[in-house]
Amino acid sequence: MSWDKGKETKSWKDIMEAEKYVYTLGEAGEKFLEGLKEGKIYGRKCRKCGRVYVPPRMYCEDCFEELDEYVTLRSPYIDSFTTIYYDDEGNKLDKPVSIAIIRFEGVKGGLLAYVEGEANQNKNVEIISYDIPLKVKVV
Amino acid sequence: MHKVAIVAMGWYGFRPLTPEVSFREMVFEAATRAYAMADIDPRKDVDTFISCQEDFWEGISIADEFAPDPIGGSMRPTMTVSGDGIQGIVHGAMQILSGISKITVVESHSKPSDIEKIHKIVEFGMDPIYVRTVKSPNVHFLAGLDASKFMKKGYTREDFAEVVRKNKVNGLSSPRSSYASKLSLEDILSQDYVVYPLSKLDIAEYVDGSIVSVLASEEVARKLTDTPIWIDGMYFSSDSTLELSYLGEAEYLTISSREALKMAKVDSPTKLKGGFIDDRYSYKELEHVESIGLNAREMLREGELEKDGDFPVNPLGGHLAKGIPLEASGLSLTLDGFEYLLSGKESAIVASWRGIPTFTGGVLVMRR
Ligand SMILES: [Zn+2]
Repeated sequence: MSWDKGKETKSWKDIMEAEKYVYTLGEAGEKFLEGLKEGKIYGRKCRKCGRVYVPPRMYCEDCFEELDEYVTLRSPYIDSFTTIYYDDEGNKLDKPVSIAIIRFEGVKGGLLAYVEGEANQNKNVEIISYDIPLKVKVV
Repeated sequence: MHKVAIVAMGWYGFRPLTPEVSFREMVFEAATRAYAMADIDPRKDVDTFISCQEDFWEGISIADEFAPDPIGGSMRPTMTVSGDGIQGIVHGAMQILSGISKITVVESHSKPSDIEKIHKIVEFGMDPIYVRTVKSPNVHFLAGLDASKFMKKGYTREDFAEVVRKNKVNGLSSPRSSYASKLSLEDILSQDYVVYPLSKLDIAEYVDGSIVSVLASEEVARKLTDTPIWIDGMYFSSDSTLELSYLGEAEYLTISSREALKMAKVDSPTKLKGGFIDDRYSYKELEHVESIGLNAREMLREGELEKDGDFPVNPLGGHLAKGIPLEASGLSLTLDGFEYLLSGKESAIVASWRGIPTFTGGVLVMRR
């Protein structure tokens, strides 16, 4: 005789809740957020190799040195982009949305942004909302 | 130099749903098959056990605590790797090569059918301040960013569709390929974009599955089997965070393949008889083939990556045909390579990736 597993005994249902978190920004993160409030994008420079990082961080991953001065970044452009047509559950979005990774000339790193206008690689953009994530417009 | 071999592998599942077993029973099933193939008793013959898994996938955290017993490792030396199965194989091989073990078992498994909202678990892996905050409607946007940058190297949507067609039809020859099918290029190209430049068919589905592999030192391997599959080279590495990593290329596999090939004393992957290369997105197969040092575009367009080509890639279907068994993905590719070599082929390269949002991958060079 075998035990016939009915539908109701096949699985146990539960919700694995992840409780609320507080993510500490750190000193470079704080400065970055202050910059957004001022309508600026701050990067941070490594004195040893000269690299500028965005988002700004505490240390250079190449030199393993503490980073130094904050610099205001200019000339944002699209390094790569994608357009989303369907959500995670397979529903078609009313309006497709474009997300890009924005980089700055001569700077290591980048920031994710929602894009208005026709996104494409290497197109220059203007930041229209200094927030996380950024909003940018193709110029 | 000592050598290490895979002497047996066992698997269970590789179906979208496995309601008849819990994840631990699924691991037990795969382990029983691996030990039967090797003809060993895990309670006596195995020196060390390795389980590769992540928190959250099974709806539990501190998942390591669940690792030992389904593989016969209760009260025995068991280590866990929070990463892809290939990383576990490398750790196991190091235990054998350093002389602390003669037989080591490496396990990994997946039961995504138990996860009701898997994209939410994937989001846990993203940087909470700079990436998760984007609240993208679709987690695959990270692959979209990488793929559209990769296309700028001269790849087209047709190239991606060709990979889908090839791998889905190749999968028909493997019993693990739940998602294998025979599709025409027109079928594939007629699909809507989900996340530009990828359609639903360019994105591999998830699958439930468990794999257990038995590694042995040279001396023991020769006693256990007439056909040990030698691991001649191995490596894994990581690029950086999303912002700092290269998009459009797979630096993690460039480094891993360079070092693994050097260790195996192979000067070009084309000297090997095939590749089992992560294809959880169609374009990724091509990006990964490029990153191991080959001209993927030319090889694809010339038909060299086909099953009967000069350098078959995923001749048993890869992830597009089998699905993604989460942390067991690297072992799924390794198992395909293992079966390929047991069928008489001489050598193969296995190249695995941990998937979004990671920039980590590993390579094995295997020979019979
Ligand atoms: Zn530096």
